[in-house]
Order: sequence, then C-alpha cells, then structure tokens
Amino acid sequence: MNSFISYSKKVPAFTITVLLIVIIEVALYFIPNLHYLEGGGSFFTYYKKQIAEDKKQSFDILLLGDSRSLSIHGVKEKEGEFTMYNFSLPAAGPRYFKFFLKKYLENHSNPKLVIWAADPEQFNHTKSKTFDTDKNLWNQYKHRLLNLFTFPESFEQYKGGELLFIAKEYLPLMMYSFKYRQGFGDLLNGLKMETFTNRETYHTKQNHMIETITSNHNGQINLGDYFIADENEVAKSYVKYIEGLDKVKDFDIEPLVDFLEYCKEKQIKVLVLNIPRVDGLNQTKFFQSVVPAIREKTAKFPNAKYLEFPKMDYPLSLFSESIHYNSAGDKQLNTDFKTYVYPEIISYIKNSDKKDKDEK
Amino acid sequence: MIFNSVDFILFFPVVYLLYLRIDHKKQNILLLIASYFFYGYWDYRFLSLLALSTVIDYYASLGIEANSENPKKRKYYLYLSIFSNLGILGFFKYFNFFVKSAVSAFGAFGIQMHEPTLNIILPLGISFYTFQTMSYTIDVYRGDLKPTRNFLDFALFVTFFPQLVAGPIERATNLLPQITNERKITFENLKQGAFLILFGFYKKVYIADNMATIVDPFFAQGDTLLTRTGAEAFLGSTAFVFQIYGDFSGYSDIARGISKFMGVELIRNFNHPLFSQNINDFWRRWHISFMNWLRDYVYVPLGGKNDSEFKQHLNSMIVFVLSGLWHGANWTFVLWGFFWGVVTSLYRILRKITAPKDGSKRPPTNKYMVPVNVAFTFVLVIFSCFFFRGQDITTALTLIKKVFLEFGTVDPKIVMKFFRLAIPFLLIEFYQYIKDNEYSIFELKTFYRVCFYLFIFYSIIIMGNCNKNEFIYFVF
Repeated sequence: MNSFISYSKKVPAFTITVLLIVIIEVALYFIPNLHYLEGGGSFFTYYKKQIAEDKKQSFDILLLGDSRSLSIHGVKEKEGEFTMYNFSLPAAGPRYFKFFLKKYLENHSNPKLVIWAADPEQFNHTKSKTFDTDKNLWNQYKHRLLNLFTFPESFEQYKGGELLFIAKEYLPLMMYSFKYRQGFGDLLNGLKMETFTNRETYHTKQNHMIETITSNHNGQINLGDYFIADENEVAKSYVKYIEGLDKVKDFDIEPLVDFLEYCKEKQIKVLVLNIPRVDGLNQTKFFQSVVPAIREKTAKFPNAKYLEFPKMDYPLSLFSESIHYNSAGDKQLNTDFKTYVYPEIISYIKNSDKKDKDEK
Repeated sequence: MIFNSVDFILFFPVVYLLYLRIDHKKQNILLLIASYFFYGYWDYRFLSLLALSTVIDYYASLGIEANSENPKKRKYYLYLSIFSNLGILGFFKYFNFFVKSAVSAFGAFGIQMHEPTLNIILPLGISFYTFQTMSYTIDVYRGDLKPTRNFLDFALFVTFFPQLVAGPIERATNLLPQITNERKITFENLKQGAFLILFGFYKKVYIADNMATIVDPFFAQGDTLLTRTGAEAFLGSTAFVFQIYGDFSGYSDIARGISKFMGVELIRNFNHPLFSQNINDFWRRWHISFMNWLRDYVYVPLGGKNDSEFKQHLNSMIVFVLSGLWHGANWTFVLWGFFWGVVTSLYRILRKITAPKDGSKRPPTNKYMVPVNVAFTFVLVIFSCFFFRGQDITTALTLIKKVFLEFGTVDPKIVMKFFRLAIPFLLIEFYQYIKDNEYSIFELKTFYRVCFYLFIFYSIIIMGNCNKNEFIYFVF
C-alpha cells in the first residue's frame, strides 16, 4: 500500500486520470436510460428487455420471434380479450428464446400461452453453429445477445470454448463508456443517422419514435416500412434467395425442441406459428423438409400446437425485399392474423384450459 | 494474438505477474513459452517454421565460429542460413506471385499455361523474424558479434513476443545482451512504457482504424472506381498515410511499451516521419529498423557511398525495389519501390546541382521554406501510397490520373471526419517533434497532462474502431 502511494505521488497526472476514469465510469453506471443514445437496433433490444423485466406489466400471450414476426400487432387490454405482447427481435438466432422466456418468468407469473413465431429459416444449419467457431454469426447477433442478457445470465447459456469466447466478449462491457460507445461516439461526433427513418435525426429522437410506435402496437413495428429497395434489386435478390434455399436441406431444430421441453417443464402452453412468406419459398427443398419436421416434433409435446396462416404464400408485391413485409404486406398479415389466427389462438387457450380443468 | 484484443489484455497481465516473481533464467523460459503461445494462438502449425528458422541460425552461427580458419566452411554456414531463411520466405510469400507472373509472361508470348492451385497461407510476421535471424548470422560471419551458446536465449531473441510479428526488426547486438544479462525494471521504464502503450493504442484503434473507414471506399475496385473524383482519390491516399503510419507506428509503440515493462529497450521504429523536410529525412524517420537493415546488409555490401555516381543510383534503386517486394508479393509494391528509387535519385541529383560551387557547406534551410519542404515531402508520400494501397497497378494509375485530370469534389462530411481525426493527432506529434522528445508530454503541467490522458483514453474506448482489425504490417 505504501509503495502504491509513493508511486502515485511520483505520477500525479496518471493517478488523477485513473481516479477520474473510475468516477466517470461509476457515474455512468447510475445514469438511467443511456440506451436512448444508442442506435435503433441496440435500443430496441434494451427496450424489449426492460418490458420483459418490468414486474408491473404482464401479458396473457407472449409472442417470440424474429424480424418478420415483429410485424404482428400485439393486443392491448380490452374487455374479454387476452393481452398479447410481441417480443420479437430481429437477428438474434434461435437459441435465446428459452432464456428470454426464463427472464420474463423470473419477473412474472406464467402466461396463458407463448407463441414461437421465429421463421424456420433460423434452423438453417449455418445458423446453428457455435459462436466461437463461426465469428460471422456472432457478429450478426452479438449486439443483441450481449445487451439482452447479463454475463451471469449468459453463464448458463453456453459451455466450454463458447462460454470462454462469450466471457471475453462481455469483459469490456463492464465499462459503461464502452458498452454505450456507439451512442457516446455519435453524440460526440455530432453525427446524425439516416439509416432507420431515412431522415436525418439523432438516435435519441429516433428511439423515442420507435418507442411510441412499438408501445402503441404492443411490441409491433414493421421493419419493411423502412427498407427502400430498388425493384430490379428486389427481383434479383428474390431469385437468389429462392435458389439458395432450394439447395440447402440441412437444418437443426434442437433449439425449438429445447424450448418446448422447457415450457413443458414450466407447464406453459406453446403455439408454434408458421407465418406467410414470399411465393415460391415454401416449395423450396429447405422449407419442404424443415416444416414437416417442426410439425412432427411439435405434435409430440402435449403442451404444444402447430398452426399456420390460412394463406402461407404471399406475392412478392407484399414484400419490401422478399423477406420483410412492406406496408401492404403488413396490412394483409395483420388482417389474416386478426381474422383467422387470433380466434384459433383464443380457442386453443380456452379448450386446453377446459381440458386441464376436466383432467383435474 | 493481436495487441488490440481481449485475449492479449488477459494474456499480458498473467505473463507479467509471473515475470515479476521469478529470477532471470526462469524469466527467459517464461518469455519463450509466452512467445510461442502468442504466435501459436494465431496458427499453431507455423510454430514449426519459427522453430526451424531458430535451429538453423543457431547452428549456422556456431558453425561459422567453429570454422574461423576455414573461409569456405564459414561461407557454407552463412549460405545455409541465408538460403534457408530466404527459401522459407520465398516459398510462403512469393511462390504464387512468381508463378502468376511467369504464367502471364508466357501468356504474352502466346504460350498458355495453367497456374498450379497451391493455396499457401502467409505465416504471420514471416518477413520480420526471417530478417532478424539472418542479420544475426551475417553479424557473426562479419565478426561483429560472438554467437551465443545458450539455445534458449537465442530462441527468445528470435521469438520475443512484443516484436515477433511486426517488428521492430531487432539486431542481436541490441536485443541479445538484454536477454542474456539480467534486466532491471526502473520507474522510468514503467512510466515511459505506459505512455507508449496508451499512445500506441490511440494511433492504432483511433487513428488508423478510423482512417481505414475513409480509405477503403476510395480504393475499392469495380465500377465505382470510374466514378471516383481526383479529390476523393487524393483524400483517400492522404488518409492512408495516416492509417499506415498510425497502424505501424502504433504497433511499434505498444511493442516498445510492453518491452519496457519487462526492462527491455527495443529500437525506435518511427521518429515523426510526417514532419520530414526531404526524402532522405523521411527514410531516416520511417520504419527505421528495416531501413537500417537494408542499409547495412544490402546497400553497403553493394558498394554504398564509395561507389561511382551511377552505381549509387543503381544501388539505391535495388534497395527500394527490394523494400517494395519485402512489403508484399505484388507488382504494386515493386512499382512503389521503383517510385522511391527514382525520386531518391532525382533528389540526389538536385542536391548536387544546387550545392555551393566553391565546395563550402550548404547553408541551413530558410525557416520559411521548412513548411514548404515538409508539405512537398508529404505530398510525395501521398502519391507513393497510390501504389502501396492500390489493389493493382490499374487502380493506382487510374486514381493518380484522376487527381491530375478530373479533380472534382469530395463529400465535405468525409473531409470533416478526416480533419477531426488528423488534427489532434498532428498537434500531439508536432509537439513531440519540436521538443525532439517523444515523452515531451511529461513536461506539461499536471492539469494538461490529465486532459491529455483522458482525451487519449476515451478516444480509444469510445471512438476507437474495436472490430479487431489486424495490424496491416502483420501480412508483410
């Protein structure tokens, strides 16, 4: 200790700097809502995480999915209806759902139903690799997964080399100036973003807008509304997309099975929902093999049911870039959901509730 | 393993804490193991190459010493070292280049040949450690150095991890005694080391990696190359000067800083080259360890300054073309070397013409001319970078043509970004340059030093590009 003090006296500037850094980092730890400074993608993750952790708000139905299912409107509290919140997040892979649900359950009682609405494309074998072996995959998902879970929470999600890899990724995030570096950096540079709204605006303003839209629709936001794509490019990417999935046959639905097991153990009902995609995609080799496998696996779980939209093939004109729905696609999807799917969901909940009671 | 990674941030403190607790002999063993781990972390398969180079040069140097009375055998051992090092380097770095060039040359004469498809991975830092070990054997052959009999010490000289993959290219006369003898860690060592590490990271992750985001689009190939303006090309190349300087000197600073923590002094590799007043001055300040190597082992043996005027020009051309080839197996690097060879010769001729006729000493440069000279030298460096950074000769020449014939405009936002990065950096460098002391920051008052450290630290943490970009010179 004495030698430390004598060294500190010899380098006063260094010592003062270290102290100031400690003070700044501790202060940042206590400043609320720093995530509003971040870009839309990161903000969205923090925002949904906050809702899942908020003990004051609970929902009857939780919808978990990806950027496509994010287009489905949640259901607000109305007499005689179940509330539904859309917790979908874009590009976070199929493995996190179980742990996200766990997070929700740590703060709330069991919901009446959980909808698994992730696109089966998430089961493409190229997306099921471990992150330490496929760094590109990690780079795609990391900004969501690192923000969605704390390190102790992640500790049980990974093992071996992958856990070590993830731990190293968490390490620099202990410094809040590093954790929110994108937001601070843009703020200090006076940069305005053009990515999400196609208008120049600061992240904070943009995030408040995202918050309003998402909150009005109980978790929904249609990402396709914000993609502007050239028609020729869309046509080209459509052909490529179909061709690509016509070659792939390998898939890994283990994350879904794991999720269903977990829900069974927690006595939670699950609806595995398959949502419409662009014409021709359902006929590709990949979907022809993965969808029956999902159906078959789901049928083995007494607490789960598989359900499809009445029309599973939408024309390309309803998509912004062959994956995400444009505003017309969004409208069609939500009409179909409200007219056909939601009543099915309600009757599934009611029937299985009745069945449960009868069995008791 | 790279310095700007969490792996290294975990690796170094562990090694260092152990280092502080053991005696000198064990320290060397620890550093050797750590160095092999550091290198093998990238690709363990190439550890054998490192070991091979070590074994050959160790025995070659002992062979030279043992045959002091037999010049033929001495030469044999020298050639064994040189050819095996150059053989390793030639195969891994230049095989594909020579095959491709030969196929194109035959193609020009109407003889169609197929390129053999041999996918050779370039071992990290191969150009650095092969040059370092070669210099050792040559020094022993010349009688400038007595070979070490301690194999472990020699192995550590070859693999010392701070400078293994991107230099500075150390001489055995400097590094080996520091390995053999006990090292002392002084307070000054720690202070200077910490500064070098901090400033090195600033240069790498803040300056170089952010400059890369300006450079890369301007040097991209394809259709966009034709739509690029001369102004964009010029800005791109200027930003590249900062990128390559920040990247390479940043690495050297971190390497020196880490070494200082262990009581080892590595050679200074850069001495504010951006403020060079002429070409000779630039090459005395840029990549010093490599230029010294070329001077001592290529230029001087070729005849150096004692040769005829014509041979001096030729020798300098050979040195620069070799320097270009050392950087990479690509014709752009050869042309880059050729460019510097020509420019150096022109400068030498100009100096001779403008020298006082009566043979008296040249008067010092007018102080108002200094900034002009610095700017002119800097512009030459910018132009050389079109060859250094361009993917191929067509790209480099197209961009240079654009600068002269279609200058046009450039997005002011990108210009602003460039200045935001460059100006604070230049101010710091300028302060060190005029004080002729890289640690001149220590002379500032406490308040200014605190501001400086906070600025550097948060530039790295908040605005540094932390996408784990490797150092450019790793692939050289």
